[in-house]
Amino acid sequence: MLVLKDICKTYFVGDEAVHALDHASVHVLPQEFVAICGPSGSGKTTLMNVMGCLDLPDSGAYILDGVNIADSTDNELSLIRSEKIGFVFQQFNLLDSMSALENVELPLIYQKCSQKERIERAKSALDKVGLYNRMQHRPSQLSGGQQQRVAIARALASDAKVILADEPTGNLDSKSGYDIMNLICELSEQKHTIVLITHDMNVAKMSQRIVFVRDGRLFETSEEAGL
Amino acid sequence: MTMFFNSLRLAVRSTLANKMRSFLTMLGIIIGVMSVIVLVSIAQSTTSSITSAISSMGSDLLTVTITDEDISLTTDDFLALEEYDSISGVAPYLTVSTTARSGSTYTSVSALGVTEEYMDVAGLTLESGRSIVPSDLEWRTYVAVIGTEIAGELYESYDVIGNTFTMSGHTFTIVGLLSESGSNSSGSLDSNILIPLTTAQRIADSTAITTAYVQADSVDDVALAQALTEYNLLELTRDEDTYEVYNMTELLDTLDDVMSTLSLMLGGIAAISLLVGGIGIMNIMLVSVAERTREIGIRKAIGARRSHILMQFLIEACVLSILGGLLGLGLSALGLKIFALATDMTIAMEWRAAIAALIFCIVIGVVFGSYPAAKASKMTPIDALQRN
Repeated sequence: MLVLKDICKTYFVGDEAVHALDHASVHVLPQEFVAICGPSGSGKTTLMNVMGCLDLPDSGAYILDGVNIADSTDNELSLIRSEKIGFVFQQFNLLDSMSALENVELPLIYQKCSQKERIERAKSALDKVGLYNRMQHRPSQLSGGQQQRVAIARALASDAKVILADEPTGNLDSKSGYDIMNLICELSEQKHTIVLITHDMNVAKMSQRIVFVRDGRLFETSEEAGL
Repeated sequence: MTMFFNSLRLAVRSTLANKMRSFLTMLGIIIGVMSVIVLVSIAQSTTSSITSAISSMGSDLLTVTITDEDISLTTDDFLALEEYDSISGVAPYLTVSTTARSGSTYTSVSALGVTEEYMDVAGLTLESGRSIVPSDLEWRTYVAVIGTEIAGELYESYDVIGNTFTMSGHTFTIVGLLSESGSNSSGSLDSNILIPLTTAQRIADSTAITTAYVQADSVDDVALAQALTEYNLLELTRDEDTYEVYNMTELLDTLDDVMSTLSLMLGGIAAISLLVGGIGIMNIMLVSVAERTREIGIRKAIGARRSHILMQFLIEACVLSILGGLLGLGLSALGLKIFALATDMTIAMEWRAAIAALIFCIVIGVVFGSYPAAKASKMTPIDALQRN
């Protein structure tokens, strides 16, 4: 489903080159639940940006659902993001001026769905995360856990091939974090492909497979990564 | 198209969400549109009332003005023009600016010394009494035919025949009252005092005539009558720079030209305030883009294209400017109503100016909205998401 081969990404901070990704390769199978685990500054976020088509790698190949991303235009990237990727962010990233329902509808607007279809799909997605009775609430009227559920519903509504979750429990207390992880595990059982990025081993252990990151390199085991 | 309506809905919502800010932003546009519409409407209405006043005097009329003080033509020099077939009447006149007094009431007036033909030529009619007759001119009598406005000022009544008033040290007897010629912006027709030309010459201590109306036999003869008048004047003065002969049509054309230049100028100045309003919109849109960087990032992350973001902010700018324009239109309709009530003048809204102002608003929305919108659309999703 996701194939990353020898991905390199270098940033310049002042005159100093930072190798955020150094020949990173990983293969995520369809319906797999993979956790990418590493300390802060290891290149997790850069990997997530590349996987989420928010950023293009300097070199290497990235094939998502059979499409080579490396030479896509800005508009093509937008289309791929809207059709194939569902983001779940640490900061939730919901629009506060809109209700939960409208937030979930948003990706469908960019997919040019009809209004009727949008509302149907958004409602069923909210139902799946257990927030059907809260759909008219604003994000600010919801708890952190509920906001993250709305974000997950947003990823589900767009019918994404891959759900990319970047520290989804990072801003939550342990109880709601646990609930969110359970929800993600449930989605995995429902055959969704999920990539979870975290620094927390306890969270990572709930996945089917863990990939470790350190200094921009990927490792299959924690011993190899020296963690 | 669905995209467009979604952006429109969003734009209206975000405009309403910040009511005070939106209103202040629109204020520039509102004031701009109001000034364009109101100023141009007033200029146009004034023009048309002056034009109708002048054309009511007749388009077969020529006005002769001697501009050189050294030239002194007599009444007979002008009356000689009546010999021509194409000229049906000549009315030389003399204006004396002075004060009229009746009892303890004073009013400053322009007394016109006229011949018996003047009223016919100038298109004036009598309400009551008689007009100036040849014997008045012969005997230099102190009689006057007055306009209704003067009658009102001096006597507060139209029953004035036989009354007397003093002017320039002489006592005049009123023998006639002019019909009301309708209120118009020049207003002077009803404030006329007509006295015999010879009497006026005595008061002014001068026989020189500097102004006259010449009436052509018909509208078709105006050009010929004008040529003949100019020929005679050249014969008499031997200098074509000392006099001017206008026909009313020419005068109307000139007036029209002046007034359209004037309304264009007024409209132009007002349009500058519209432009300033546009800069206000650009300013607020830039603030709005900065405030909503995160929103832009989220929208891009979940699949919005550059063009979607561009459209969203462009439409928002246009909603502000068009809404401002419509409010300005409504307020200027209201303003003109109030102006009409206050001044007793009916002023029709100039629709061409209103439409031009509204189109200008749309242009302003697009022009001044495009820079902030382009700025928003060019953000990369990563940068936009990272900023708070």
